[in-house]
Amino acid sequence: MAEQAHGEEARRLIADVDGVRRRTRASIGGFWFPLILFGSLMLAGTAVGAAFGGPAVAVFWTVSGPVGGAATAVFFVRRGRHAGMQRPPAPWLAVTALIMMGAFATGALGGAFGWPRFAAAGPAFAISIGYALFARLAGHAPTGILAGALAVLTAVLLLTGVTTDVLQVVVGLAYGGAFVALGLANAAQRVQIRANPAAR
Amino acid sequence: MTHPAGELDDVVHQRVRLGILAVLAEARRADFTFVRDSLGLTDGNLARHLQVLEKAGYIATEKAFEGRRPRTWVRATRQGKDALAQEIAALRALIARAESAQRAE
Repeated sequence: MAEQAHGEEARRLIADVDGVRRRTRASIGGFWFPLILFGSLMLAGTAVGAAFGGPAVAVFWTVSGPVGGAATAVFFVRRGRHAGMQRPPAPWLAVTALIMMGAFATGALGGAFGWPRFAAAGPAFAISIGYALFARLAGHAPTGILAGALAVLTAVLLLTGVTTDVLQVVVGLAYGGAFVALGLANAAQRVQIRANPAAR
Repeated sequence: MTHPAGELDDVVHQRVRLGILAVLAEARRADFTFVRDSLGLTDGNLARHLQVLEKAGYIATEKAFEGRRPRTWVRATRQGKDALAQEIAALRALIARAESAQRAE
């Protein structure tokens, strides 16, 4: 009987701790910023690729990737200071590095070994995995679900007979469009909550 | 074999103090107001629990001014993070023990 009571109390305390941690992760918000920023960059990168070809896309991301990452870091540092909760930066930087390295490595390997479809789909998978990890860090389930759905879409396109050019454009538009749309929805929801806190 | 209840830390085995360490586990540092609002506490209540945790070496506080606004930042120390992890492990052991006792009945 005492064991049962101890077990119940322990279960309640662990549920409390999990709830507090989840709410704390989600409370800082602001996840709309990297979604809109990197979604827009993906759309722009797709346009650059369609107009100037693969090497131009590599140059585009070599410049815009680190600049976008730095802008996101500054945004979250300022936001954290304002909200009163500063996150440890190391996991965020590690995931950003993972996305960058994964995207460049798969793109370069695909190019070097003459696997254009791998070069087109590899960076998309790196972004999906990275955003699933970001979603976990931020406690933002919709981004995790979206990242999973985009990975499935990329795999389906890879397995169907679409050409590499089409694959590149569809993946770029799908990722960019979906991230921008989710970012805007998230920002609108935040504005609504700020205007009417009871709607939380 | 010792009972897992013996592994519970009296300083941490308390709903509010466990909550404080849980908030701080997610943050590099959090300010007093953020912790207070996250856990629905009063200033006095939070201050008392922070004193207990600081005395045990589980948290560190840092007072700063941002412009003319005073701010108290709180962070979990290495010891505090370890204490939270050990408490969670002890609670999980208690749950496992209760479940095996129930199966044996």
